[in-house]
Amino acid sequence: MKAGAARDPLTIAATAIAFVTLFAATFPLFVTTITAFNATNETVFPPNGWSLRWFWNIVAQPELVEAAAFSLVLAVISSAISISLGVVSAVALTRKKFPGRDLIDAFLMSPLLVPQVILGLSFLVFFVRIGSKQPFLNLLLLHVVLTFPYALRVIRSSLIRMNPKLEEAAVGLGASSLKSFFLVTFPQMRPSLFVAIFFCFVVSFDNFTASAFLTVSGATLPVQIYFNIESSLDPTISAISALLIVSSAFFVIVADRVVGVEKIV
Amino acid sequence: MKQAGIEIEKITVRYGNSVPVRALSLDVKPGEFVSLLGPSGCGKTTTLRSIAGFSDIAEGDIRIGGVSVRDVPANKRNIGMVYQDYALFPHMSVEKNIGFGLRMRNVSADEIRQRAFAAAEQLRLSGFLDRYPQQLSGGQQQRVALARALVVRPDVLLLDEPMAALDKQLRSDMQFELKDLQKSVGITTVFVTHDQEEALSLSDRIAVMHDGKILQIDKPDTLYQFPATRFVAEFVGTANLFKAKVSNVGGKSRIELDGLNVSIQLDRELKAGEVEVMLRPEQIEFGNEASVSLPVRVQSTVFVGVATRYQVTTASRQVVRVDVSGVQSVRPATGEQATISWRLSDMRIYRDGRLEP
Ligand SMILES: Nc1ncnc2c1ncn2[C@@H]1O[C@H](COP(=O)(O)OP(=O)(O)O)[C@@H](O)[C@H]1O
Ligand SMILES: [Mg+2]
Repeated sequence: MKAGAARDPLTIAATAIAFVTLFAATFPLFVTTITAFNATNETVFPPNGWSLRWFWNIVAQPELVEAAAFSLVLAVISSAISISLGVVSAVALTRKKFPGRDLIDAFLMSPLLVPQVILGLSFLVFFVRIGSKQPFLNLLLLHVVLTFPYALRVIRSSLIRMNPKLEEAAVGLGASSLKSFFLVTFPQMRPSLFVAIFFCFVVSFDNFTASAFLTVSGATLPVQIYFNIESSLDPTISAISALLIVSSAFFVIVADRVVGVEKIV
Repeated sequence: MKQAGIEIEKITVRYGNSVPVRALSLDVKPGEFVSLLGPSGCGKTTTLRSIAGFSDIAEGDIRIGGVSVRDVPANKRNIGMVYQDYALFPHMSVEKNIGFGLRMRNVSADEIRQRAFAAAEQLRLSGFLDRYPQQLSGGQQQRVALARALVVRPDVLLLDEPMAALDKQLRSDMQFELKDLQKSVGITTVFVTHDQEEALSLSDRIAVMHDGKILQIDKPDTLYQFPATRFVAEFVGTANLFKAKVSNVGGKSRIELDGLNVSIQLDRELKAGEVEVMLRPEQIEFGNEASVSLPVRVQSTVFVGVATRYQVTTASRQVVRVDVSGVQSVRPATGEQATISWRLSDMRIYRDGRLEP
């Protein structure tokens, strides 16, 4: 940037807004993280003395550990399914021509637009109706529906940006269409796959609203956290939140190192 | 290298309602360099892609080396193709790019290496084998694309406007290099371009395309001197066109240029009627030495190195372009009255857009 540019009012305003937004967005996270280190069983800021006891207390509450493990497994499996489906659908939507393609495209993206309450409720009605007794499978299906549009959107945009002549060139050099996909298309999709994994994982792991409808026993972590603060407000929840905040930040940094943060957003 | 000719027999390509190639026929002899020249959208790329097997032909047939390839998929046609943007694989090194076609043919790793090295050497890329395409200049990328296409020893080489992305100096260097390479390898080549100078300087023969059809295919000098249609005359080189009338008196034909007091006695007989007379700018000179002459006013001059390019206007306000090369001495100044003239034998006469024999 030129020296003069920094002084123009628009740049100053934009910078100020960026800082205020950043502060407003991160301050609650900062407060939550700090309260996790309280010495007493009150969730207050600033803390009444310092300790790590609430972090150890997480382990002492088996329902939280179980919920975390449950959410982790759910996020991993639903992301894997969504990304596999996302690759196949994105290739079909961007590389093949078939009747109704644009309609299907719009339909596949649509869960992003449906309010979570309605999505959760309709899944609940559906599972009750078919008499499903499989809470994990129910949630898995919901989470695939929740995460798939993100996987599709990210992978699809990477395929649109890719030069389709590359695949043609590969075929012209003797590659079958399968080889052309695996040797030319797929390697160039890789950064978008990292991004898709990240998005799907976060969307699944964080989801509260829709998941709450399908939670009977064996809650996901966000739902379990909600149950817990209804009964007690000790800083254990702050401690687990602090862990989530730190690990999310860690993932963002790793993703930035691998693919560059500008490709994620 | 084994040489294969290409015979294209009345092919038609359809995309829904649009018909970019219409009953097009073209024979390329083994080892020959043929250019497809035409304005943007006339179907050059589509023709090239149907040779390569990427555009389905609705009618007609294509034979390579005498064998029909109608039912041969693109990946089995053994064709080398170079794209305008080169289409190099960005995630592969130069060596891997060049070796890709051999890898698809299950050639052993050792041989791939050897042949990629040899191809790189031939195209002056030896120092760049470990680089990635993004790390190369435009000219180097183009040589990688050529090496990648040629290393598999294809039956034919197809090039789709490969020079379009290069700057002028580099383009002229690459034209010489491509021509040398093509002759030394001896490969049958079809070259697509919309740049007439490029086509004139590179080709054994040029096929001028318009609207999905070939209007004329000839050697560059024949094409330039005897354009078969008015469209070809205007597309290849610069054409001065005069509207005129032919009349026959006592078995002799005369041509009168419309709006000008010029009557030209012809040495052959033509049908009476409306025609157009075409002259190249360098066939017109100042002075009245040549057989046909008319008065003009000099409007502007541009010096282009090898010649001075004049725009002059006739009494009927028609603009005529005249090129005066270094050896000619008569050089009127802007605003002056002058006389232009030309030889009878340089005139080409078009009736309904077609050359009169
Ligand atoms: N895949 C396609 N689908 C529909 N129309 C096409 C397709 N490819 C080319 N065309 C049409 O065919 C015509 C000729 O195109 P092209 O062969 O690319 O011309 P050129 O290479 O001479 O510029 C154009 O009008 C173009 O719009
Ligand atoms: Mg083209």
